[in-house]
Amino acid sequence: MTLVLLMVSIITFLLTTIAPSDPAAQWAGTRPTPEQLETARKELGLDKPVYLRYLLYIKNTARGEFGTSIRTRQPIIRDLLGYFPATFELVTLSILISMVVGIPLGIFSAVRRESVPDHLGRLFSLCGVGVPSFWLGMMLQLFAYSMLKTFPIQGRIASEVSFSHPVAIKTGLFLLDTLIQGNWAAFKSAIIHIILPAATMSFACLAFVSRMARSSMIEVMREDYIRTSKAFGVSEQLIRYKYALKNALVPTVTVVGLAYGSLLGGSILVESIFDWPGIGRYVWLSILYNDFPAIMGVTIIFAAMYLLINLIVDLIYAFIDPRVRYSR
Amino acid sequence: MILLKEGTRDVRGRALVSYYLFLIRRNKLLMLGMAIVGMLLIVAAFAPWIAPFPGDATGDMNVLVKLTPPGPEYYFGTDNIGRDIFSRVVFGTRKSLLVGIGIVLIALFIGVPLGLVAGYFGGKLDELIMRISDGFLAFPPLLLPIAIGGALGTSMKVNMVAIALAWWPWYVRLLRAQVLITREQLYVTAAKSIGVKDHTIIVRHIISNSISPVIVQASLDLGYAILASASLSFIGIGAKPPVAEWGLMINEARAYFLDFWWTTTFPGIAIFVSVIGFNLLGDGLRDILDPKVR
Repeated sequence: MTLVLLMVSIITFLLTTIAPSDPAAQWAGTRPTPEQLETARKELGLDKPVYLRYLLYIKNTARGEFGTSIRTRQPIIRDLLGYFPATFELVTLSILISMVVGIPLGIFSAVRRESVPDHLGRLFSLCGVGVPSFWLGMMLQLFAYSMLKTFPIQGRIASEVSFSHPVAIKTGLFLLDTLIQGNWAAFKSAIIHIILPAATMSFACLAFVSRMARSSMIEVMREDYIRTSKAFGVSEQLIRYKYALKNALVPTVTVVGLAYGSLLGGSILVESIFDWPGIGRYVWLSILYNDFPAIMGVTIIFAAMYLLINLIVDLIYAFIDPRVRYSR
Repeated sequence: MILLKEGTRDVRGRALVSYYLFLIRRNKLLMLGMAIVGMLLIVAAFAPWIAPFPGDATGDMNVLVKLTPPGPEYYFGTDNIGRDIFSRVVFGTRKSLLVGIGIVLIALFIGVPLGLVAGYFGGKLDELIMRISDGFLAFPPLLLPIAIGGALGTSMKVNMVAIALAWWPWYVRLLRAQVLITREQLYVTAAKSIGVKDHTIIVRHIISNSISPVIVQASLDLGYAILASASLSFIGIGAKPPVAEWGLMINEARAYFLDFWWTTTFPGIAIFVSVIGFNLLGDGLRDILDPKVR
């Protein structure tokens, strides 16, 4: 895992070296004299050889000093920490939705194999994989705005509600904070604002998860121990939901780690459409403004998060699968 | 082998072809996928003749007819500066297919040799290649292309190269797994024992037996490449206006699509159809090429 982190840091460092913007010129300000540029270079350590600059880069990154954003003129780490809860809330909710809906769908499909619901379910999975998430978001916005007029299409909470019933920020996750506070109006507003973005983000994920659940359930149902249980007269219900399901869930859990990563990437698209104040929208604005330090900061953070999630998933996998535990 | 006389080779070849044709015909979804991909190829190839307003894809403006709904003259309607969306979607097919093929080819070009080498020679080289691949795979899907795009600027070439640079490790892994199986086969051991050189073994035996999962994955990836490229273009890293590219068209429509739904619906449908088509094709190829399923 540390080796991978090392590789990630090397890759991101190489990207910073080939970026066209000159950090010294930005540091020195507008229209610097050659001497000021030289001083700026020495300050930032740009005159040192590559490997020393790499070590400096590692040191800064570990300390969380990602530099200053060109667009917001704030330290990037402060921007990131500020926008993080919104993205975390959205991505986590999306994963939960796709698991809660996708796994039963997949299992249902597997159990009633080759029937009409199964084929419908597989068709749905196929569509889910092919739909561009940003387009789906826009279609949902069209639907909500033009036809239903019930769901808001941007933001996290209605501005009127945030003034009349201000949210006491404890965790940064509006859904939790409003519940803790007992702020019912704000909770309703937060829920209604998060539904569309979460639906958009979970759609592709849902399709993938249900596909995985279906195929792993089918594989498990073919196993000998299932056949033996049936031969012994164990009820079909018990077999399915106690023995088969547990085994089928294991590969599905590992898929969650992968899904989290793709949702992190997808949050860039979805947050920009729904004007969701999270890191995704921050990256999108940074690209718009050519704010390279901010882009690199987010890249490192997202990569680190992805690695962390996969590590946690591996640990969970070891926990629920006794074979892995005992083989160590 | 007295049976293998001159005429027999033709018959064996023809029997193989008709066997594969039978397999293809049996698989309805594969035929659907092939039909979709075929349609995309035809549309891309004959775009200037299919599109009623080919100039709209390259820069013509006709502001008088801006934002007209879909109708008999403008099948998909017009956008905010009066360009026929149908023509632009048709021309966008060219861009998307080219970029998709480019991405997959570059990723294959880098990933396949590395996978072969890592799998066949093993040892320290294998370790090194796998560590580098793991480093690239540690990034969430769109993020590395975005960072590369931020560093190198925005153009379709950068779009293509950036996504390919994020994807090649998958092929390394895929091919390496296959090579690890293939190199333990008896015919490889036999070849080695009579002194056939390593590079000959790789070319003659290993590649042909390891390649089918890669072909399946590559055809699946063509669809995902188109999706990824459109997503990057949507963010801004990719084609620049007035180029007709699906992701860019959806981005440009963001300002008015709420009241003019057709500006974003049709490019999105195009992306969707492409991905589904290549997905069905890839799945179908897997069904044909995988001996277990036959």
